[in-house]
Amino acid sequence: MNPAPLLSVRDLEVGFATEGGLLQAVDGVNFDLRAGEVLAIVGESGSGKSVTAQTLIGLTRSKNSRIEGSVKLEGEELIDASDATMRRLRGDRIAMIFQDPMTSFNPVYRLGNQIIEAIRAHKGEKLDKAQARRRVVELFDAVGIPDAERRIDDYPHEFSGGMRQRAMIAMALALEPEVLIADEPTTALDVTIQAQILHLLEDLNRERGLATILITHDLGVVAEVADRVLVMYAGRIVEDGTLDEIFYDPQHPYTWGLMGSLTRLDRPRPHRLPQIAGSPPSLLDLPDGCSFRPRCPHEFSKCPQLPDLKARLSEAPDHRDRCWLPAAEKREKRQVEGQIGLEAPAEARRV
Amino acid sequence: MLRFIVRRLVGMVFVLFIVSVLVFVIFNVIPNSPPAQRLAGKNATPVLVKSIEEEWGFDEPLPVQYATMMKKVFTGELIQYSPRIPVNEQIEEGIPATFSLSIGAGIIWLGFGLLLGYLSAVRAGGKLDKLLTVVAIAGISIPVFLIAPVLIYFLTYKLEIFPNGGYVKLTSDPWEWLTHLILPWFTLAVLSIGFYSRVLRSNMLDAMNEDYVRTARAKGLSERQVMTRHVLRNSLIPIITLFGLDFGATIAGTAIITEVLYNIPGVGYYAAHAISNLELPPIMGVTLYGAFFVVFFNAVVDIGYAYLDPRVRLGASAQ
Repeated sequence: MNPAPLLSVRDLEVGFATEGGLLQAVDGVNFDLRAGEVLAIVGESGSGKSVTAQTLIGLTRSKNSRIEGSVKLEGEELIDASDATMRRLRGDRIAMIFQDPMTSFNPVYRLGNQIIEAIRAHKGEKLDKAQARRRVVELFDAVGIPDAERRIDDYPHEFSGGMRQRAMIAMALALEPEVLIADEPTTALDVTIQAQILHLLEDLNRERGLATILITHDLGVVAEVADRVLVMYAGRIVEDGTLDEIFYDPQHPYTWGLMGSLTRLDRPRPHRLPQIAGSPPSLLDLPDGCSFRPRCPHEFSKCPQLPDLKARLSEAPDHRDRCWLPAAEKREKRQVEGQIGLEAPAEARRV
Repeated sequence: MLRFIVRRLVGMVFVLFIVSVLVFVIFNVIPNSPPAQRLAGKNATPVLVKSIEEEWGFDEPLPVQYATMMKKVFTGELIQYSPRIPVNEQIEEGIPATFSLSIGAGIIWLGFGLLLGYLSAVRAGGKLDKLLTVVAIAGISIPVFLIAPVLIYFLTYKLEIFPNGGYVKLTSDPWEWLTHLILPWFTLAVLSIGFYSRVLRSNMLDAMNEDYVRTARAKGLSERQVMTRHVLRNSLIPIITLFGLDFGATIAGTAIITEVLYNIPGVGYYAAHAISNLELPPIMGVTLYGAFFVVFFNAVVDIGYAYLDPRVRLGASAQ
């Protein structure tokens, strides 16, 4: 049997009070994360993936946010934990790295000192300066920053983007966390550097048994490293399965659309890059039922009711989705020009 | 860093040269009347005017005239003619009072400005923030010539807490020095306290949305550490610029009104009297003195800036 999950999220809801009303950024998210597992959360901008991740470490707490549900780290509830508890846990047990390494370090402090600051925030003054520096040098070595001894005294602007992201990862690893949340860690990097950073994350994940949540909109990145994939749309999970299930047997039309908009090197180049027609709905004004309904060419009479996220295939009990279409019909409808994709809507086809 | 400092100081000398040329042009070249007549003062005898004309070499070409003027400035021969007193002695006499006033006021406005701005930013939107906003706007709006008489009337005449104007040397009686300066300090500082607290507040609110602040939270720093080490520290950079300019300007002459209202015999007081008596040499001297301090504190600020923000240093060494 599967071991008990390290991190367990149940019915997570995050809403923000705005001038236009309550904005439900995350609505009923459930997932488990096990040690050594890489969980990818995929979705467009505004799908709630970053808010979900930041909520796990309490960064979305504010006067204007309303957070409900349950987040348990090894059985300990985090949603109603005190701010002080959350502070001790951040960086120490759950670390996070961010999208833009250019702006995620404070420009006025030396990189080494910013990492020492993180170590000291948790270890206090027990750690003397020389020990802390040695630790940072070790970390820089571990993430492949050459000449670590000298470079820990550099300022962020003296590092390239890829090196900065490595330093960011070094900082996240400083306290040997159990969970690493990587919020679009490669989006701001060159493609060649992206691959290096992904492989670094993969190695760390394998060597240290680090559970990783990878937030991205890049399915190429997902294919490279993920074990499980959550697909989010408008604050809800629309599909959840293993990497193979999502890539070879996707059940939700939105997932088909994502797959269809990948360009593939092994196929003839399309005349126009495929896209999902329309744009994501406003979170303040969601349609009834399935949120993807207005953009879905396969909409039918059941869609105005919200389908549950549940396993709909008898052979894959952990592959869950939110779509009313019968499985056989899905397998037929997702074939567009010999590959998985989302048909263009009727009006577009006529043009 | 050393190269940066040297570069900055060379720049400073260049700016001062330009300022001195401008002063020369404004005082001695542009006015459409014999310069010696104006330098001599209102009731000068023809003999005095004649001797000034020779002394300053007003029949020589302009560059020579400029050199003569600068020689006088540097050798202390710039003289007020009626009565005959060297300008530099007068300025030197006024400097302790002006510096006492400006430095004290500067410390007060920077200290209170930062404190109130920090509190406002940390409690943004709260009751304290709203109260401090009103206080700051009031401080910015009340002019010095209103605030000084009001303070003097209530705290000096009615309650007799503070002495009635004047200045006592720090070396002769530190306590009297302090009590004589408290009202002038606050009078001079009120506007800047309001202004600095507003600027710091908005800088901090901007900085709070920076990615590195989120990083600081994500690594588990306490809210206070995040605010002081990351938000405040990065918001100080523009404040330092502002402070350098304002402090230089205060020493250079913004303090004139305060010095006159409180009867403090500083450089501004001297300048005010020279202006009302149409004494040109003192005005010339005070202008150059003021220019020096404005430019000097600007250079100090730039150097402090490079210390606070390492990226500035990079820009300098790359050249």
